Amino acid sequence: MGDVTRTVWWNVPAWLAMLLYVGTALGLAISALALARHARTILRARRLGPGPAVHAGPAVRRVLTEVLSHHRLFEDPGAGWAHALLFYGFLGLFIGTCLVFVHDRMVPFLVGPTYLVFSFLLEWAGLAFLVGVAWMLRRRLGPRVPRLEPSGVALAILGLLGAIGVTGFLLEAARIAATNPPFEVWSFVGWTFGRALRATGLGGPSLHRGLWGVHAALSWVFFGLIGATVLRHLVAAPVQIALRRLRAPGRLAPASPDTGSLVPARLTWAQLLDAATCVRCGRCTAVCPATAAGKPLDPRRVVQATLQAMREGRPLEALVSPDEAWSCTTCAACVRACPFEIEVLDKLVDLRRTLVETGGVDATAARALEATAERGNPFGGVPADRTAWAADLGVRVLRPGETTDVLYWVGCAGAFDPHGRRIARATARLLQAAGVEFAILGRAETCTGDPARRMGEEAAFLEAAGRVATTLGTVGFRRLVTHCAHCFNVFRNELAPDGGSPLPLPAVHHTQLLSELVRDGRLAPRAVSSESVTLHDPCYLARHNGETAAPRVVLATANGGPVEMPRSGERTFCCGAGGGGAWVEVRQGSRIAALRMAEARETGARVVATACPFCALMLGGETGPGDIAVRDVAELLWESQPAGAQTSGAAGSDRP
Amino acid sequence: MIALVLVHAGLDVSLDLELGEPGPGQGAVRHRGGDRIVTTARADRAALEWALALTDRAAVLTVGPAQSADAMAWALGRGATGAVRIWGEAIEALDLPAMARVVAAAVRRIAPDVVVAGERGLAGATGALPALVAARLGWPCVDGAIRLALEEPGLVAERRLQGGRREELAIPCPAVVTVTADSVEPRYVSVRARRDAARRGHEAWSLADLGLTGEAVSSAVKLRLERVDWPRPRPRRTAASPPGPARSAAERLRQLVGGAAPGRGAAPTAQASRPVEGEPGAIADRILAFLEQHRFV
Repeated sequence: MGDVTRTVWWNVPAWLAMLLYVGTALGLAISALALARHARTILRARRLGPGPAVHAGPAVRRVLTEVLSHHRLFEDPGAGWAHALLFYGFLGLFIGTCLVFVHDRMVPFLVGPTYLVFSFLLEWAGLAFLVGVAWMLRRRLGPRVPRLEPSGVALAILGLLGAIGVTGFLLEAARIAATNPPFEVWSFVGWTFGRALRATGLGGPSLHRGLWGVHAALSWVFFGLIGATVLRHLVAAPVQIALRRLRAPGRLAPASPDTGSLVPARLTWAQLLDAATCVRCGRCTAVCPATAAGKPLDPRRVVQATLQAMREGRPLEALVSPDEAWSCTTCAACVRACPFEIEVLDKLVDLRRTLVETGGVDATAARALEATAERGNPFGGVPADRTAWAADLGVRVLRPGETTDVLYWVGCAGAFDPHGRRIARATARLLQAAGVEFAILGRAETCTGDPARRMGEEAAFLEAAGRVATTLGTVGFRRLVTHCAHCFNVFRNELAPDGGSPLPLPAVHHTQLLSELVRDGRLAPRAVSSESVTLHDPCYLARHNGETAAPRVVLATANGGPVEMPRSGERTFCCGAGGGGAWVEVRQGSRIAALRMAEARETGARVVATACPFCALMLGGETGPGDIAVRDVAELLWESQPAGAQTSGAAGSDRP
Repeated sequence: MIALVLVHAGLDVSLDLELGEPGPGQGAVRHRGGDRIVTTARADRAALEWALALTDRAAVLTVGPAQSADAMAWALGRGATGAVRIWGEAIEALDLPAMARVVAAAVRRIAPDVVVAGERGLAGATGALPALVAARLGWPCVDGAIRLALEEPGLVAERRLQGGRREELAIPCPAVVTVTADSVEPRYVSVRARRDAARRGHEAWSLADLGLTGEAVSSAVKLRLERVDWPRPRPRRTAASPPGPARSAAERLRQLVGGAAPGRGAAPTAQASRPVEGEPGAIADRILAFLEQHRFV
């Protein structure tokens, strides 16, 4: 079997071989130029925003795991399989082509059994590639996956890839038909078609040469399209995965020190790089609560607008309207869903930062911001009323210089919102019942600045956060507990008075502390309530801070565990309050909270448990008489306590 | 055109206040707990909005102690081209005519084409000051405009009258105009803009800068502050709970209109608001009889 191999340039005249190299080089050059333009814009912005993750080892490992495992893509199994087939098929064919080059120019090793195995494997790679392409086409043309746009470009690229695959197989078939070596049966696809060609008498060398030319020309087009189309992600995605900001998801990128319009020169390198990675898959748009509610926001469009701003040198605010920017609830579902973690909400918050400086702030939002600056809370409440909820509970108010074991941070919603107050009462009574030594700050408490920051008012956030850091510095505590998911996020990720890395605060969410008390037997539940409960995970607890277990532990004690909604845990669906949404209402479309409540009702549960007063506020606003009730997990746990504990806390109303 | 906007930085009176002895630099009323939250009346903000809508040369003027700097920073941050604050020890005890004399002196010095103020926005919220200033200057005065526009040779102002009627007034400049608080939604001024403006600072004038002396202005004041009293505590009103659906319509109606509603003087007697029960036809007869009895039909 000395000649069990194939002549690499069989039937290809020298001029055509030369043309292959020229065309490929030309295609690659066109793409390189386009990519270089992007790279130059991104590099110019390299000093804007926080720097990239620079540790080479972990970065390479991250790229390899993410690219090879496709784990984000497999969250939608159809997309995962289609892309994996295409990707691994492509990778196989690419490696195969490289090996053929080595064989041809350096070491001729594709001979004998090696050649046969090689051919056999490449057939599979080609098949996988084609199946992947076909599957993707079907997802766009057949029974459609709603998030995918059947855009001309996407279809053309898939068509091109398909044509490259098909012509590859056909030219192999033509070669086999013309030369007919029996060992080529290992190239089973080419062999099968080759026999068919022979049977029809079409398989001459001229057909092979023609197909070879078409195959080569299509590949030039492919190479030429990498730089200017979504194929860019072949290059950009590994770079993005390697360099993207590694940070707690709940930590917003700080504002740049200069103000002004978001011209491309002011977009950070991270924003430009991730926009260049976008493949328009629409996962962001599919999970966006604002889009679902019919608000004028489409995260995919925002990323594409960033790309357009970058390309055309136009300011981003000329391409994205204020209403789009204000529709975002900063729930980060889009970031979580994106295979490349493109930071959509950072772009929108940056737009808000521009709007805040130019007066593009809604009246109610302006009032919340002014109240935060003047009175230390976005509700406009009177500081002296901060302890009104605890008037009859005998809760200790910590004065400067004093210490306590647990410092209970009530938050503005806990202090001023009627439902928030009930949550605070329930939490305080549970802590009392469990014998926890705790205290509150009373009127010394001020807003942590979360709403201000997410409404784009960075300076107000820094002021608020600085105030809170100062206040916390005057008292001693071992742990800081809060029932507000937004305060919790600031304490864990953002309270950095100097704008640098956050203070290491021993902050826990009340569900975490309560689940601990339950586990330690310090809160013994009475009879478990028979009412069925579903749990609404707050975005700022579950998605931004990864805590999904604690509220479930508490609910398991109080109500035997929740009936889960389709979107729960880290994939929870926003209530609409985040990002200042509790104050800013973009009137177009329906209310996000209404969508969430409809989902909750479908579980058949009688109660929606929440773990954030803002979720309680938003969802509670959607309930009618006799409807499903909205309660914080702390309220539900308090109600499940033995009657003794209920009365031992303090005199007063029997309901928290 | 040059506009001068009168603003006032006052205590946020919805906060927890306490009474004390009037002292230098502070009134008798102050915030309990020491925090002093200075705020600007919405009407004053509206005044600056209108001034900026009329011209890009709008300055603000305030009479107040150093704490008023916040209001100056807000105005400059919003786009005012200049800010002047007048203060002197004698000003603390001025009455309205004396205050008007001070403000008029400052207006003369700045020489604007129009003075815009918030309706009932400035000092004491009586709304009299702009008019008194206009009287001193001999300028026309329009109070409570809801719209201002340039119209050669002066301005036009729209005012809301009783019964929903509107009037439009042509105002020759110079003039004094006040605008209502709800005439425009004031634009939000960011913390950064306010901070940058505070760094730029404002002009502080003394009475001497206006060619006045403390004695000259305060000698005319015949008033003396005797006492400040707290408002009488209002009884806490309890919300009437809506009657449950289990009861009959008549019972629910009785609960709503009957003695269950607290407060508001003497509750209507059960006799006066007795629901009528019965067959629809019978009820219709009773209603007709009632209407005839009271000569409605």
